[in-house]
Amino acid sequence: MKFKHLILTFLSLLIFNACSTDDDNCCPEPEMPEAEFADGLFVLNEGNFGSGNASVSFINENSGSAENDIFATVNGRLLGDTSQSISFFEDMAFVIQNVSNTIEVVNRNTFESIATIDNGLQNPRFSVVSNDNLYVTNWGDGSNPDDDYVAVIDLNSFSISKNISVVEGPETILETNNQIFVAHKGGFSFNNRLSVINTETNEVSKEIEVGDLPESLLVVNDQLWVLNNGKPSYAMEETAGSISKIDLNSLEVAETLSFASTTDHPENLKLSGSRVFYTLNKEVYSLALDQTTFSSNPEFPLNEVQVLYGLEISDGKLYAASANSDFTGNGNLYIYNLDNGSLLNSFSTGINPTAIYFN
Amino acid sequence: MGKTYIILIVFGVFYSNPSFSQSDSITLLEEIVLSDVKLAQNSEGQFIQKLSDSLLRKNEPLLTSALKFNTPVYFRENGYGMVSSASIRGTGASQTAVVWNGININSQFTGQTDFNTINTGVYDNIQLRPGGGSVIYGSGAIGGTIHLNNLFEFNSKVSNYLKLAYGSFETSELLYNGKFSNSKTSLNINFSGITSDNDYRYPGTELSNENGDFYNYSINTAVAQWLNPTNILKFYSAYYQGDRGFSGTLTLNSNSEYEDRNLRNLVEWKSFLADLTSSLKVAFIKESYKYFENRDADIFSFGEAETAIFKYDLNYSISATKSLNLLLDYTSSNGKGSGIANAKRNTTGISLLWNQDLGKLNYNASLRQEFLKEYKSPLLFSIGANYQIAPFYKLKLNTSRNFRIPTYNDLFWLEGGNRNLKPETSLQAEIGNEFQFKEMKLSIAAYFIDIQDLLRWTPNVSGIWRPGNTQNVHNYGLEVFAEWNKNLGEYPLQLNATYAYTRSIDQETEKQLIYVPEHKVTFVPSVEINNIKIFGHYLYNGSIYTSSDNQYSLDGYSIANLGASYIFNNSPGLELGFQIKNILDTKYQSIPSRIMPGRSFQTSLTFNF
Repeated sequence: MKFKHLILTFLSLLIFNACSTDDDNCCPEPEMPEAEFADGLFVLNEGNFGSGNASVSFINENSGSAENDIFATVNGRLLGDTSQSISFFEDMAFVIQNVSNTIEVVNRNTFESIATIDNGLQNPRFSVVSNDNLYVTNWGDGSNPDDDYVAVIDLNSFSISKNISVVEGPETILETNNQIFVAHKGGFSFNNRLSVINTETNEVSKEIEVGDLPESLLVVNDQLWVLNNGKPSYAMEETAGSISKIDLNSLEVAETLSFASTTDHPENLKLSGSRVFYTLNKEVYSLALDQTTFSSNPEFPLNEVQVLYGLEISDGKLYAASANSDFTGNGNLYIYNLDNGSLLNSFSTGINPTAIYFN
Repeated sequence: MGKTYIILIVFGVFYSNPSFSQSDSITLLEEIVLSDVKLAQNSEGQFIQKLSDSLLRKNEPLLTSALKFNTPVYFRENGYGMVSSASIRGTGASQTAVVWNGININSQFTGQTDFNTINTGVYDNIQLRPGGGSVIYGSGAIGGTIHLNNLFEFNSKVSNYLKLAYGSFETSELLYNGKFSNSKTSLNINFSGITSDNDYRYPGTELSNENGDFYNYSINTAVAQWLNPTNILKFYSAYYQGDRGFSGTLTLNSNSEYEDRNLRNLVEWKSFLADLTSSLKVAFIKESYKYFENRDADIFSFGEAETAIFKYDLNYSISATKSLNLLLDYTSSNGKGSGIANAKRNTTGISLLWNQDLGKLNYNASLRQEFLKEYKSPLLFSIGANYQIAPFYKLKLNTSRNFRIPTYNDLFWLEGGNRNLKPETSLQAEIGNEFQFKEMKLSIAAYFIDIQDLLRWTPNVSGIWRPGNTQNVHNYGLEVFAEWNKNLGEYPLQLNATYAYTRSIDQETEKQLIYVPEHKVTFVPSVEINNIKIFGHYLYNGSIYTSSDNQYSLDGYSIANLGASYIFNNSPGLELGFQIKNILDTKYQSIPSRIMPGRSFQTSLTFNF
């Protein structure tokens, strides 16, 4: 090779090198996407089973704007079939599709897809992040009571590193005190237990028996409060709902408050200030933290709601996700004043809105 | 001595009483040959579309395809070969009754028939009668009835028809029809089977249909035996078996499997005595299914229902032009299965039918009342008339009340069954115009149906799904059937077309019901040129709504098929056929995300001897 060719090669390398510094104007920076969804709330829409029309809506209460189908708009493809829940960690959101058996990992502010987890999940339900891992509850084969598990997904590789075998019907999952609590509602059957998972060993360290169909998990001071739905009317024996209060140090049930009638099936336990709120059918009730009997008078009814499919409380307001009574077509989000139950606002959502998340 | 049985019946009666008209010999022949005489003799005011066996053989072997491409019936299909339900005149899947040789065979569990569990090849013809039919056929005959018929011949001939076909996606079909008879006995043996990997590519995507493999077959036999010159015994038996993976969708993986086993047996004893025709039918129907959510595991849910039906039919010919018919029936069924707690039902029914022929005007008037202890059944009626206004134009009028009873799932399902359900009832009327020209037949009918107490499963305040009588719906529209026969020189050309305009409006929301297309068109041309037969199918389905607020919809679509066959020999017959299905490679779905097959091919070989 001739000497002058070497010089030319060396010079061209220098030119390329010069462009690599940030404050050089030679190479245009790629445009950063707007953080379109940074301030507002997400509504997760289940869609119809088997129709592949699950979606996410974004609502900005201040501007009054609502945008449906944001995943498909940003990423140009379908979200999947029957979305169940979303969990968040740093700037990531994990959207779980129960029927497609996928988790879409997206940026929570732009909703751009980061990764898709589509291996090793079977009837995934809810998730939570702890110790750099995403823990996902799975029913496995719905008719098999022995194959339910919690998948441990490494957040660097987005692949499952371990499946923790658990009892039937793991649903809601919560992390506190470096421990993971899983409520076992029972899947297609009925169950009444919590699993406690040690995040160092990723094993079930304890099972706690609570009431029938534990659904909501709430940390209240140094206790874990579990709202149990009670067995429904079509069970062989219908049972009343209850609240189990578990001491977070001893992991024993410290107190159980039972509802009066076997037809009482409370849902949606949420904390606001010095009270918790729950719903019975479409009425909102409250309970002070030191109260030991349930009030028979509701705070207010949710009259506009057709089917109460999701509920959140934030900032003195109650957000109710209402699916249509025949489960087809777009649902609604109704926002109520938590003190007096007056309707503050309403938005149209996607099909069968099931959960509300604040960003 | 053998041959004289038929002649005695048909002509002997004719000669012995000269006041009998020619129509009586036809009537008697119908009683002998047909399994469902009421369809032929009690349909004044309604139109019947007949699909002959030669037409059925040009279609795929499952009932969905034959009706989809040739009639105004709309199908919601979960994929090729998967669960398929029919909609006639905008009504729901359980408002169409499928009638097998005169017996209603809709499932006791779902109140409907899965149209992909019926092989058309084992029947001699299939007839569609839009409009009500509960007076004769019972529950579910609101939108229309579909009749699967086996016929008898006593012409001392032997015929064998054998067809083998192989096509795309490893699909193999076998069809055999054997007919054997002498003057006293008639025997038909039929077999139709299909198996397929069904792994078609979804047109316009990189994905393929997965877990949709299936096989099914039907074995039917029908025997008729003259016991003496005035008594004939008929026996029909049908066995169906099929296993299929329930295919996934664009976004859903499936590993589930469904198995069907159905057995139907019917015995009829018919007596002809002067002015009376008496018929006693006894039928045993057994349906069973197993559903495996995971086909590799041994865990399944199941259902089994056994039904016994006794029908006594006495027809009294008061004169050549008037007849009175009494029907008494008793049905006893019981079912068991996962999700069903102890299901038993016994029903007694009585019907009275009056037929009168006044020359240009024929009419019938019928009443039916059913008795069962679970709930009160409505009084059903039907009045129909045909008026031959001119030689080429017949006016038809019909009005009826029909019903659909709650099914086992509606009443007894462990999670939410509701024992306080009432039956759905409908009140309907139609006007038909039938034109018959030299080369063309045309029928145009307009109808109106008012359905009360529509049974729907909806979630209640606590979120539990329960069935209830929740809706009032008005259906109305237009149905057109046209057939044109012409000779292109010496080559016969036939064009068949149907058109349906359908509105099905929920009276509370005033919106079109979901899964009801406003327009459907079918067009079937066929021509024979020397030894070559060419035929085609064209189907257009208009768009449908998939949400009751009519915000979401699926686009309409057109599908076209083309087929040709070459006849090497006529007797014994040898024919080689070739078909291209969905030539346009249209991507279509009748349920969101369940894509149907694109273009596919098939070759067939037929022997006739």
